[in-house]
Amino acid sequence: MQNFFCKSFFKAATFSSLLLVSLSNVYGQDFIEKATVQGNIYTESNYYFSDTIIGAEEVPEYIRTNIYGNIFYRYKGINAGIRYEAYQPPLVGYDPRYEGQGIAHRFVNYSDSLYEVTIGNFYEQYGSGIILRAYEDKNLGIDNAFDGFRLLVRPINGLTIKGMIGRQRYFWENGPGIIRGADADWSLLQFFRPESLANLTVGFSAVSRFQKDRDPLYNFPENVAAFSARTSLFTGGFFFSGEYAWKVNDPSATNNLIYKNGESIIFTGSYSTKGFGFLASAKYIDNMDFRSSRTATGNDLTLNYLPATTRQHTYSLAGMYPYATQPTGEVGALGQVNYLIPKNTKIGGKYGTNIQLSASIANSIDKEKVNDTLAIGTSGTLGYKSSLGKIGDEKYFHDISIEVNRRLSRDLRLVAGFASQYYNKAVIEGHPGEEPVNAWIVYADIARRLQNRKSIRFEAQHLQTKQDNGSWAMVLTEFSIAPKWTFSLSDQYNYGNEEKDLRKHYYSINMSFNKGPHRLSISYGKQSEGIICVGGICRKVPAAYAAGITFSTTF
Amino acid sequence: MNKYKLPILLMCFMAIIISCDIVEEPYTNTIIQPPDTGEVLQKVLLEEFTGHQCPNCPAGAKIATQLDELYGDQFIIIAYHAGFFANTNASFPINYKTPTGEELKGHFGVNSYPSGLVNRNNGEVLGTTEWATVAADLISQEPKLKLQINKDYNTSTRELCVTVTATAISSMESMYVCVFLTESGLISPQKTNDDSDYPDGVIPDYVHNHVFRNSMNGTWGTNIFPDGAAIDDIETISVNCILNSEWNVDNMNIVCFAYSIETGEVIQVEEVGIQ
Repeated sequence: MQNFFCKSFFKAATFSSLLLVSLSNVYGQDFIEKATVQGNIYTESNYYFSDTIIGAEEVPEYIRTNIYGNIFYRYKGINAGIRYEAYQPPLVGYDPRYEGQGIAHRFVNYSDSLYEVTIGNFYEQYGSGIILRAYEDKNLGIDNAFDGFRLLVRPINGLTIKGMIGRQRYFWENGPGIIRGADADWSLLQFFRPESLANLTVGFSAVSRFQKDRDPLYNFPENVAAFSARTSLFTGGFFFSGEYAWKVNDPSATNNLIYKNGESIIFTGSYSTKGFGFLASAKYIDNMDFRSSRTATGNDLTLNYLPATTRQHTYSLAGMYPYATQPTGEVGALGQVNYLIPKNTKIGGKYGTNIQLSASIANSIDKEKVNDTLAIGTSGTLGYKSSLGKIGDEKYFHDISIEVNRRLSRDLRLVAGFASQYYNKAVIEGHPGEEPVNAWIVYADIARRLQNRKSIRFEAQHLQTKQDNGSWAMVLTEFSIAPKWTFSLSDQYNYGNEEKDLRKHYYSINMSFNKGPHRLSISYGKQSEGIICVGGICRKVPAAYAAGITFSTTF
Repeated sequence: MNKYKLPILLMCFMAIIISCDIVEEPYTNTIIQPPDTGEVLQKVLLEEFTGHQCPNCPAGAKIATQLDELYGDQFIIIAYHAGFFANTNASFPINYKTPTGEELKGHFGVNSYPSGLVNRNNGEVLGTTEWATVAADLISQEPKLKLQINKDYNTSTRELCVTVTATAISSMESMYVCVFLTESGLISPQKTNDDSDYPDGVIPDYVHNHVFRNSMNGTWGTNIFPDGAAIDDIETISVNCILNSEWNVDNMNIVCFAYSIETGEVIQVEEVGIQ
């Protein structure tokens, strides 16, 4: 025991020394010659035009640019990296507070079979993320990395213990809250029966935030903690996981300063075998928005991630009304079946046919008044009463869809699908009084391989609705000469808009060129106002009319 | 058994670093206003950006009102109706937007609603839950400037003349003085997300208070103490304007504030009714 600690601290001290002397003589020339250096660069620039009819506002700078560049250094167990970012200024739709440039992320990490230690910036996730997840997603404009210290220890077979302390990134600064976290994950079968092919794990996490309270109106808790317990089982084709989380009083800008505790429970189960797959998940979320600042809103300083239980669509009109997880209260469920009709059968055809059926729903949770005089959600009170698992009356979302994927011949593939969606715009987008959207979507995608590594693809989609902006139609054609060239042309037409002036075409022309690790693409066109979501986390995208150039490379 | 000591120790250590505070009722604080001794007090200006189509803005106005009740005369509010949320349409026909409000919105980079600046501190646009903390810090500071407003209103011509006298309490940099007019008690529809009382999301007879109406000396005001001020230096400015006939003078206030030419932060603010 003592030896382990001595060794650990010796390594940590060595590691720190290495940092301080920066590539000193300790490792000599090996530190340079035997090291691995990798990196990547991504730049995107758009020249904006104004189009008052679609709502594309005039951009005073005309050109806006986002730039990201990562460099990673690796030598034996030492990893180090930096990321340069520049927003000159940020592309339309990204938070203007990103404007600027500099080293946004830097870290040094040492790892061996027993432990791993990181100083600087790092990302982290405990369990499914319902009490802690720091991650980066450029599409969403999210980077809530920690800046601090992280330790991971594997003291016995199957057991991983993690601890961390730090502050979260807030554009070019760090947020005001100090975050402390600990997590233990134990693979029981790996410990007791290492030869077993199955796996049973249990895990526990705890996270707390310290943020000073100097508010004259409210008595805020300075330390807010959340705890979770989880288990997962994997055996054969069967997988099950469940996690329960609980958070103490956390009055914040997102829950209208109520003092109620939060809780959440999430289950996922799946089964797969050759030609068949089944997935089901369910969740209950009650007042579980957790951030490293009680004053943060939007996507700022989010500490936890509440997974989506809705299907993420690939086709644009099917994804026009995506669901955003409601951290203040939601009950959701998803069921999905994949079945491969065997090849050389009457229905399956010569190559087999894949069918995917999915259904998801999200509802409010049941909330009751604390007493007769207080309205639900009144700030400076407990807010409301609720019971775990009790479903409310208001539907937020549903999506029932079927997708068929069939190879018609050696060179011809067809994907066709249908979806029925209900989208409670008032709740999901926070626009009270707005009419819910009932939409029907059909789409077909046919791709044909041609000679000399050429291929052509054609997509047709239609969204039928009487609400919001009315119905849409879309066509897309894409021609590729593998592996270098891709050309595409698409048009979304909002032909069903009640206002005739807004029945506009949103056309887009794209070209991309790939060579080895380099990719260059050019685009020109219009984009309608909307929302993009990844895993239930969403970002509002304003209407835009732009010509853009994107370049990326890795080395 | 030895191999289990480390994980147990680590888990105990991690349990220790996690902590939480359980807050019991009352959740709100009570502050007793100090008696008026006639001394010059540091006052705080909240410049709130709002709009009648902003569903979260009534909650922001509520926090502003709570601070107003808490600090009394020491807390002064201007509500700028600006940007997309203040646009008019058939459901929200009354236009509260002003060129000054739009100019300030653009200058301070206001993007989320409701939000506001408290004494233009660091030029930062703050969310509603940040107002109280910043106001508490600023209001406890020693005042550097005394502002005195004298007004003369002619009811028949609707001409308003305002004289502002600034007296330096400590030596200071040069500054600008703005003389703004606000109106309260304006009743018109307002979006809300309080769906328990207003399921259709609109309060039809919402009372808009502290609505910015006009500046008597432009968005950026009049320069005083151009070479800086020494203790007890005094400077006076006079401005005048004709009030719009649609404004209800009985509900109107004159808000006068001085801000630093160097930092842009508000040094002192005063408010009096026109009548």
